[in-house]
Amino acid sequence: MSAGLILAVPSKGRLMEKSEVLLAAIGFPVEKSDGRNYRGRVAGSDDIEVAFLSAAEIARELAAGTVHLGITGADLVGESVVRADETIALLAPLGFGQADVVVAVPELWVDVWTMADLDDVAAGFRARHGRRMRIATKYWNLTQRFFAAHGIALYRVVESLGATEGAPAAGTADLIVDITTTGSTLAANHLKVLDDGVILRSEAHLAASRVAEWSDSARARADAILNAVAAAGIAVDRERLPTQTGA
Amino acid sequence: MTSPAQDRLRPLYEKAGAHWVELPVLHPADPFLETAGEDIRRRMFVTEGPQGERLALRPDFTIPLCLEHLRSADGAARYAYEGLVFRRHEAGAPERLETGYEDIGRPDRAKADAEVLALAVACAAEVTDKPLTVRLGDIGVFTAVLRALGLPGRWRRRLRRSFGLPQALSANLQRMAAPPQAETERLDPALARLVEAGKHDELIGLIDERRRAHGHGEGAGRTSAEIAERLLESRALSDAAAAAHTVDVLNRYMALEAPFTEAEARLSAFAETQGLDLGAALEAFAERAATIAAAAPAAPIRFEAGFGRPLDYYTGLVFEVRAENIREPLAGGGRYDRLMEMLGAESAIPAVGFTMGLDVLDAGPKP
Repeated sequence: MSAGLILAVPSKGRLMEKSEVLLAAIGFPVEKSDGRNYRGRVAGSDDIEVAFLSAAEIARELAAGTVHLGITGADLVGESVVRADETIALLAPLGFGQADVVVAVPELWVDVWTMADLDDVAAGFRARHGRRMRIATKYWNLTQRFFAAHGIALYRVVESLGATEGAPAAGTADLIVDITTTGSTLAANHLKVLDDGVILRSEAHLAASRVAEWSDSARARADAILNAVAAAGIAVDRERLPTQTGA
Repeated sequence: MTSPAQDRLRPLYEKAGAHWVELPVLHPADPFLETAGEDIRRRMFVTEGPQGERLALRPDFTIPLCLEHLRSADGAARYAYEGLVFRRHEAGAPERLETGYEDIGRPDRAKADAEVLALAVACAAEVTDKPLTVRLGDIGVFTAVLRALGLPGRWRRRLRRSFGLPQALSANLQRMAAPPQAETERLDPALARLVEAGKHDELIGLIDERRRAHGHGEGAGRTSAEIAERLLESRALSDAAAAAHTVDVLNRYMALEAPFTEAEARLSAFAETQGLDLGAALEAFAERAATIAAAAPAAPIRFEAGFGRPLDYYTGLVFEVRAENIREPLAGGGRYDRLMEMLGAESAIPAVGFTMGLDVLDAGPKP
């Protein structure tokens, strides 16, 4: 690893497009440099190395300290990283990639509006159906923490990798915890979000690793990027940037 | 491998008629995930077996022991054990040494309860010289109070789940006393009309109709009948203007505390004053009180009506043994007649036992 800064940028989808547009607009245009497109650089800044990764990988690599800065969703930081506060600093919300992680139940459950209602349903579930209430989600950790905070213990998580919102209709789960932007997918599947069922309001963030090795030059490049982000009118929480150099 | 505690406790267990059991450390994780309380579940170490099956390092002995009983025993049996249990803790080692005793399948509950309590005290006295005290509660009496108050099943279950968690319970009581928010206001007119009129069958019909329209099957999930019943029940609760009175009675009940020898008289007086019929639960309490007095455990016992555990498999006696100046209870136990059924038994099987943490003694004095 060079002594420079490693910046992780989403490698696919809307998050990639928006990230590249933003970086170009603030004077740090990224370009892919190898044939497989895993690595790249910022034109005119030889000491910034760009790593193209999936947004979930970016959260994990920030936590592992193998990249300094990265663009990823707050939901992914909350889900894939244990004690994220200690390893990752969310420096600036970037104004795109907005989505909520929510608890949604079938619209048919006309007697259920709140987490307290869900607690009741969960408690009677086993006696009625011989099994625990099932929640389909890819947000296993966020679900566990949120339900524990509401004192709900009587459920099972069914891990879902594909179309989570279809699970209740298909009968593979009773309700879901999923990410939603406009709510239209939920509505199309006859699901409704509980009144107090928003687990996380997520948005793409510029985030820094608190555990990476921060050389003076990495720190200097990060400052330059943050200045440019701030100059573009985005609020940057510099207080959270690690101050120590070296690990 | 024997520990010093085992050398001293094993004769006591064997005198009580217990088989000494050795259990594996790794178990299928599902029985724990299905039945253990949240406190244990979120502390479990779960791993994968060679076929991808989910395995757990045993977080306690009670569930593996009950499963072993279901597999191998015919009728009643008593067991004793000692070994490491594995849970994540905020501080300290995740593996801790526990010992305990379980009496499974014995129909004479009062006698089994009294023996377990006396044995727990005797075992505690074997590992510490400090003066011991016992806290005793009764989940059977608490549920009898809820029933005698005429609370709907939904509130009985909700309160039962928070029993032993003072904060959660008082939050629930507050919610119950608050002016009921008319839940039917949220319903669309077609539903609201049927709920107001209490039209049970039509309500089920309407929900069924929507279910078909939504393309949701009824195979595995909540049934239309269950949704309709809960809707009607919430209306019944909004009607209960007596909620404030109910909360007042429950608060008085939770505050009951007395030396165990006076507890039965206090409970009877409470039932009479409040006009509650506690029936069989009070009789069982009295019968057990007599057998406990006869077994004469060597520690003062204090009855606390508000002492309990939120796990839904506990059904009657709950207790803990404390040693002076030691922060954590030395031993905790109780009756869990519902657990065997939850683990797959065809009907409820009486069961009572206790667990003693052998590392508690090193955990230092009360702050």
